[in-house]
Amino acid sequence: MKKLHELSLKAFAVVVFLTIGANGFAQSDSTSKKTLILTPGYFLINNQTQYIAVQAKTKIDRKFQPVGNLPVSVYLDGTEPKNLLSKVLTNSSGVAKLPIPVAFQSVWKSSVSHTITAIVDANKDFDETKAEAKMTRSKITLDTLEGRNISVMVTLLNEKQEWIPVKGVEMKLGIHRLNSLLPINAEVASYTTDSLGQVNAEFKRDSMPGDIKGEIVVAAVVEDNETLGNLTLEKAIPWGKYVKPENNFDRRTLYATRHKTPVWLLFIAYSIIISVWGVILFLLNSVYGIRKIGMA
Amino acid sequence: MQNLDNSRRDFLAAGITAGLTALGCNNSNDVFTPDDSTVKASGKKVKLLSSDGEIIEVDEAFLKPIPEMPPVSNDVARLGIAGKKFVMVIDLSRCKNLKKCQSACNHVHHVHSDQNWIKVYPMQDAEKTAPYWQPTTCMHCDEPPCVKVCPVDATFKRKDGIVLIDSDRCIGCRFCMAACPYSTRVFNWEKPEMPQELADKPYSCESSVPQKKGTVGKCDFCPDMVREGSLPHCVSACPNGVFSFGDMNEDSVTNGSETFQFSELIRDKAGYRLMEDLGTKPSVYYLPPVNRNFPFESGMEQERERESAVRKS
Amino acid sequence: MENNQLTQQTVQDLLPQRFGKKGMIWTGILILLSAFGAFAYFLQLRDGLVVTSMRDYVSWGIYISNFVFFVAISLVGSLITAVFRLVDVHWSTPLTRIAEIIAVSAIVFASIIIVVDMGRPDRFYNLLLYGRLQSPIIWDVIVISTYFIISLLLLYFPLLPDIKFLLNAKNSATKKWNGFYRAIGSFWKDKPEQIRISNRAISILCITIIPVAFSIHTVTSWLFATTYRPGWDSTNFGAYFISGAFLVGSGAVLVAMYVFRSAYHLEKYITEQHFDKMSRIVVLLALLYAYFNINEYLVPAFKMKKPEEAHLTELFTGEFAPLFWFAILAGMAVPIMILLFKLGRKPLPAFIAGVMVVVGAWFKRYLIVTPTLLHPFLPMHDVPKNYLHYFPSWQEWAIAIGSLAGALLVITFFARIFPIIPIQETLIEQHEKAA
Repeated sequence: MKKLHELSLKAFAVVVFLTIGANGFAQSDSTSKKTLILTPGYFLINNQTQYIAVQAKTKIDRKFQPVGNLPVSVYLDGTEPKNLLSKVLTNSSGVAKLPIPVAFQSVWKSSVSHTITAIVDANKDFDETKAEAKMTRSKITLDTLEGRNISVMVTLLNEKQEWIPVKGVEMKLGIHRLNSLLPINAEVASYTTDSLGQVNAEFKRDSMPGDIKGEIVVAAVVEDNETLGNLTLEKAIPWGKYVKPENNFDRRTLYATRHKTPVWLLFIAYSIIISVWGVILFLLNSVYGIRKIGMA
Repeated sequence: MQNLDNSRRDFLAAGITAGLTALGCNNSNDVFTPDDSTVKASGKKVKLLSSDGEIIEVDEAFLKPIPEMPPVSNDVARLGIAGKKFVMVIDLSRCKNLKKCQSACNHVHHVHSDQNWIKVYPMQDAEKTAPYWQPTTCMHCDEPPCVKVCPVDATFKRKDGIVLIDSDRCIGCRFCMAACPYSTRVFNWEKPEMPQELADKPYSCESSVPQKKGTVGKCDFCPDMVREGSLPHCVSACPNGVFSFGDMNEDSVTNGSETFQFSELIRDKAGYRLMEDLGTKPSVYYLPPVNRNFPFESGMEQERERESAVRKS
Repeated sequence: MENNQLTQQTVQDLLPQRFGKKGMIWTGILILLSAFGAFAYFLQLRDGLVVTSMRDYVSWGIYISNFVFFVAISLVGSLITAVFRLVDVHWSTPLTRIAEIIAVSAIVFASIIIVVDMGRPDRFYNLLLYGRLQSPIIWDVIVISTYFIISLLLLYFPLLPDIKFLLNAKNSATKKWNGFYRAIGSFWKDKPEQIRISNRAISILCITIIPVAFSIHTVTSWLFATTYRPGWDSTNFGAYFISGAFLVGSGAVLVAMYVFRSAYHLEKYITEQHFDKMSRIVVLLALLYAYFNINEYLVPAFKMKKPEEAHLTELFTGEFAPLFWFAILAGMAVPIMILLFKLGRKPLPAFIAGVMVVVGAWFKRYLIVTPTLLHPFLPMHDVPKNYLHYFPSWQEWAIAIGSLAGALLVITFFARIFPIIPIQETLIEQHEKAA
């Protein structure tokens, strides 16, 4: 037992020595690389357009920070070179997006479920990092019912090419707004599909501003579902109200630009300027007159 | 965990925006689609696979926000985003003087270390009334006294309600600072400190960067972030959801995790604006500090820390 | 014959003279002060306005109060020349040119000091390229340049008949300027038509300059009064500023009268009578200014609205109280007390009272600008300690003093080149008296 203890001490000493030696004494406080967190995601919009997005972040000072400008390799169904969809760079928010290239058509059609793998090679900041996400082909539909009710249904495609309802899918229902989704009912945060794959919700927003036809865009959003990925379905529904936006930008006001000076101000200012400078010009002309008389 | 949630949320929000762009919400002249404002269709089509394995063509802007979108020209920045009317709601019952808003804002805009565009005031309206923390941004007044007095149109009011500064035009007379009753404007008394490569970039009214010596700066409501499909930095930096930002024409504001119907929020929580009697018509609304999430004193620690830091320097 | 001798004597007395020893020292000191101010401005151009003590709360400091002071003092030209001429007051004739050159020099330095205050003086042209008529600053730019031209004309027309005396002068004190004199006025031949045109022009100028003078100071007061700040948000401001301007200008004329009289031995022309009359005017104007001050402070102090309260208590009993009471006492109360007595209206005491009025007025302008900025609506917060107070830096003092020295230098050089008392008009009055 004692020997074992000695051995471990020695081993510990060697490890410490190597670590310090490798990193140099100056930076002995940063002995390990930071942990990279990769989150790949599958996104499907309106049952048709799809893309993959990978988010990269790391923890600095106990806070998550996005990792920008990071090369990420994204693979489909395996990590052989032939499975490489693309190599992408993350943007300043640490997000990289890519569509499924046309070349993968046959691979894509061969199965209803796919695995997406994101890999970052080891570099000076991070060790090699790998993360994957799964998806199954699915469909989400949204219908309006009598009395301002909404019904949403989620189905997935099984290997027999049958659409079957999915139970227990959590989703949000909201009105599309600037960078956000305004819940159609302030009291319900999220909805879950029943055994028929359905959600029934009451639309409880009165007089929401809509477009010129009174339409508003309602969206059903499934976030980060383990089997399905991220689904969004948007539909224009005529339950809004057109409100003509009020704007005094083009009016002549004291706070408008110099091209939109109020007329009364222009009138007063120019009448004063013209009359006073008219007098000044007259006086300058008098100087000229005096000069002419003197020179004659 | 809060931060993880935040970034996850932004991530998803970005996805939604991209989706809307691709499909145009079935209605291209709808003011609520990000048509001319946020993500512009480039006209170039790219081929990609749809979920059923068919080849479809979509606009290449589909993958936006593209990593480094160039800022809009200052002429465009002067007009603003058509059809929008930006509004902010600050919920005083949630603020405990963490100042995450302030540090995020200062960092992004390279604000001088002595100055802040966002301030968090300890307020007490009367002797016996309860103290509270009051963050202030620029109020982006609808009848802005600062814009009224600017002799050269260097500060201007846009269609979307935002008041910005053109630091390439500002002559540094500081009349706007005297005119602003909210003390929101700061002046670049000396050459702003920032990396040379940034300082060499052309000034953009929408990002207010790079600040120039001898000109005025202030909170800009981050229209560059809005164009990119994100929220202003103070909004996303606040862990307590104090700030909500949105479009009055859509009657909706969001703090990132929650989205509210603006009119309902202001009605139910008795929202108000600062110094209403001056007639400046601010675009920033406050919700009174009732049913608070934190006691006032919890913010004092932060305040003492900051004060001791000031004393040391 | 006697008459002719008197004429020659008068011309000889009033022609410009070389600087004596005192004059050289005086001019040398002014040049040094101006040069030092220019050096301080160079530092400010290089490093930015950070060399001043102004910060985000006190964003206007002594540059602006100095500007207001200059604009105020420049109003006197319109008072002494125009108002008196229009009401047919003749005793002021020897003082008109003093008043006019004070006006021109002050308005020039008002423009200079406002450029000094700009964060980006290199972009001054933006005022012309992008000038925005809604801004009171543009109004100020317009009225100040207008007033400058009118003042210059009002200086020029009565100067024309004096040019011939300068060109005919035997003494060599002004010989090297002969080319300049010829260029600006050799065409004056005392022809009746010339005199007629000139008199008409002067009458028109006298009428025009009064509203323009009122405008420059009213608009200057609006730079403050168009904001919401306590202490500035006042409908009284235009009248308050104008009455103060007439007071400080008249005080300055008293001072200048005394200095020119003793420096150039003009006792025959600027008599004790002139001091007596000018002093009475200063008393009248000081009372008028006191009246507007009472309006300006008593009415808000009676109500003590919350934003005003902090501002007013700071002035009456707080940090600014010594300066405030000094400005009230030295700028109004004590001069009134001195000048009310006949003995007080003798040249020396009147001169002292005049100096007090001018110094008091300078600090009064400082008190109008700065304390208000230290009392914003929202409490001062989230700033370093040095943002919470204001005391001008040495650069600001150097520039402000340099600008004052520069204005005096312009007046000094003017008196070196041109007769400071109008020769022709003095002669005409002598003839009228003799006749």
